[in-house]
Amino acid sequence: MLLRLDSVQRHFGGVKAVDGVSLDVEEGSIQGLIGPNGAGKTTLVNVITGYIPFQSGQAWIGGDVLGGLPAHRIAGLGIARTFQNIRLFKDLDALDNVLVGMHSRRHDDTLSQLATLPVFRRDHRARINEAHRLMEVAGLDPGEVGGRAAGTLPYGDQRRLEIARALALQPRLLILDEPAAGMNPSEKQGMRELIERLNQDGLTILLIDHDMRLVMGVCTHVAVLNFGRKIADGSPKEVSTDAGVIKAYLGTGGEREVSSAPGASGVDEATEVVEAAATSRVTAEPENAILDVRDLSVSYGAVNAVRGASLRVAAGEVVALIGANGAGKSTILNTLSGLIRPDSGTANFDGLDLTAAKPSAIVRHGLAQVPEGREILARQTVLENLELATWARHDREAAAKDIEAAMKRFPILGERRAMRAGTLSGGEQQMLAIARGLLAKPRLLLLDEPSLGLAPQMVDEVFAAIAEIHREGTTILLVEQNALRALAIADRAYVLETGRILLSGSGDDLLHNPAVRRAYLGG
Amino acid sequence: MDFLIQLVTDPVGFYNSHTLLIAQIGINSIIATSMFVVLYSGQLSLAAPGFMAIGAYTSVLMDLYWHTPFAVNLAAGTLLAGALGVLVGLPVLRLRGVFLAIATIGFIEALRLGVILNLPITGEGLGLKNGNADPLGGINLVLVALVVVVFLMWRLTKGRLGHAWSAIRQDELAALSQGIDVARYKLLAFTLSAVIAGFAGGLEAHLNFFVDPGDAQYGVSRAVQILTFAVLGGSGNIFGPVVGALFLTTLPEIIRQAADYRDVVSGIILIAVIVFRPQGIVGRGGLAIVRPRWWPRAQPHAPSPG
Repeated sequence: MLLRLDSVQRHFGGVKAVDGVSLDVEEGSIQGLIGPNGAGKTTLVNVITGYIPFQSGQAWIGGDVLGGLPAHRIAGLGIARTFQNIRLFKDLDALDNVLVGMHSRRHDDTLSQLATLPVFRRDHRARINEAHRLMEVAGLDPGEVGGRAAGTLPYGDQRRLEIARALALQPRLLILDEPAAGMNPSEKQGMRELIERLNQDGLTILLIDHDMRLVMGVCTHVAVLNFGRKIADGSPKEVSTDAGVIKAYLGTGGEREVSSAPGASGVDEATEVVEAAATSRVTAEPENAILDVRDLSVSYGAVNAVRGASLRVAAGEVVALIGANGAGKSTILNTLSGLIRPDSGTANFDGLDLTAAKPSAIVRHGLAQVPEGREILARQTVLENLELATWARHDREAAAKDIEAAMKRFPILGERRAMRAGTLSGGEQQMLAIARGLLAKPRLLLLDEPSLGLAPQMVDEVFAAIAEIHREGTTILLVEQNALRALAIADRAYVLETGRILLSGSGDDLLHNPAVRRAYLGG
Repeated sequence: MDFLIQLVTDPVGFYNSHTLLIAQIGINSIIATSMFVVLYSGQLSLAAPGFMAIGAYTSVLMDLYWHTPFAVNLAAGTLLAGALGVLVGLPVLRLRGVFLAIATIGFIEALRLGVILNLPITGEGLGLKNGNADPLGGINLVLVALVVVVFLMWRLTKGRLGHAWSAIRQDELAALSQGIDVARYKLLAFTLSAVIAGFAGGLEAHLNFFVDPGDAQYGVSRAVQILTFAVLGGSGNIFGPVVGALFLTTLPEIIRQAADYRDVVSGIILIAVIVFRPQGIVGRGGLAIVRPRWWPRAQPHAPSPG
């Protein structure tokens, strides 16, 4: 056993980010670690690598105890890592990034450096050669990228450079935190080959990723976290058909039991994705769309987050946009709100070109967004949050009435009007965010992950509120990871995978489509 | 203009008629090096004037009371500044960014207003007479010291230590993950910065017959001036702050005719550099000028038909 965790625990206040996780990683294996958003994966990595101290439990690498050691000592013991949101030394050139990685196994040479002794030159030459070799191992051409600032490299190369830097530690265990995030399929294939090659050379790897095809394809063992606890551990096949895992990923449909989940239901598992997609597309898209998006492509620097997505929403509909983490859902919403500009494609809302209009003009035109993570003003009171939403309006009295109406609709907000918004529970904060969005009097409301981080009972309440708002005539475009919940209330839905629309159809139709499960869990 | 013309046509005469200016450029460049060390390791510390005061007062007081040679006084002031650097650094380096800046301002003001302006031995705000000062002889020492300090720092930034500092400046968390003891290297940089500032303070005192405890000498104004050297010159490599110090120290002489507007001119230059050259005069990208986002493009391409 190379890495052993025994009942590792880390709570943040009342949030049980890591709640008694035990895990064994065998020498020479590729161990997968998966779980929905907020399951505690990154916190667990941060505890293992010493960024966040343990509260209880213990961990060992080989024979060495990790608990209580500072992060740089743990790195020195041979645990290297990469970061979910690439953390290269951006202004240093690629070569220097790898040289920094050799820090802990390089003796202090300051004096020979100051005296410009030849021994320094010779050692330096040797280090550069080794750095070049490591860059080649990671799939980079040292001659081409070595002298360029790390921050200017293409995205895929940055991921590879981070791995080269980690390898410079000569680690016993390499932790990869979402190495394939934001990559296109061919880059992902390259990453998969790299991981396999490193493993064949004897390196033990702990892999965290949301791309189930990658994890299930490359790992020998997979552990699943949900709400800070390990809910499954086994071979990729065991894990991907585990009912508890499917439930954790796709969510629950309220009254619907997990038995109705795609894949767990009676639908033939063997149905080809293409075939399933073909049957689903039968549901016609509306003719008189209030929102019409065509061939939308959006990128962040070199990362293509959305690749040619088209979708339509008719007045009065509830349309869901579902897909795994990183599929591009929030990017589409942010583009529609005018916060991000697309590379190409059109987006039209009731005569307004959303790709060119200012965000404020878009809101005035009747399109409001309730952002992911709520983005409420935690230190202002509930009432002040609502008042700020009407700040740009000139009809003070009518605005005050609307605020009263909002607090009637969400009675809990009325009760807590004088409390600071930050002291509300997650579900109450979500209500506040929705109420704030409604004060813009939108004709189309964009909801981004309204169930994120909420307990099941609160999810029920939030979705009941959404259904109610819809009944009163507001058109809704809903982004959700909790696919079953979203499909249960949606008229139609689009399934997104790595920036593309994989399939679309009516909510009921998709609810029983195994392709949906594949979009989330691979296979 | 006369100033620049003389520099080109008659360098020897220029040197002889501007020795004090040249000495001050040297001193400011050494202090800028002290600023560079902390910025290079990602710490916005404004403590340099405090350590300069330690170096200056230690050296002058030793001369006044014990009549020890200047070399001994200078060494003692430098070491004492370094020791104080460790003491101050241990608690304040837990802070980051602007909080570190505020804490270090607290340190220099507490030292100046609380100690120097109140103790009888430091002249209680009236300053100290420094009879053994050597304004003309000191200049060679200053120039030699500048070359040595800049060379050593330049070498340091190229080695293991410099790599660790760069890594910490760019991303502390990632630096930890590469096995770098961040707290230790930050303290090392802070202490080294204190040593260099103490050394520069001792040298500077040796050029003047009077040690002035004013704000422009050891207070916040001086700290801001030193920071400006680094911002203007760029802090990506050792030569940036030195160029900044050279430029800003010389500027008042160059624009002597417009002396009344000296602060206005240097303000405009500073803003122009921040807008068009955010990495400083010396930095990545050769001498390229950055076009700010709000600046109109020179000639927009005609939209393609359709």
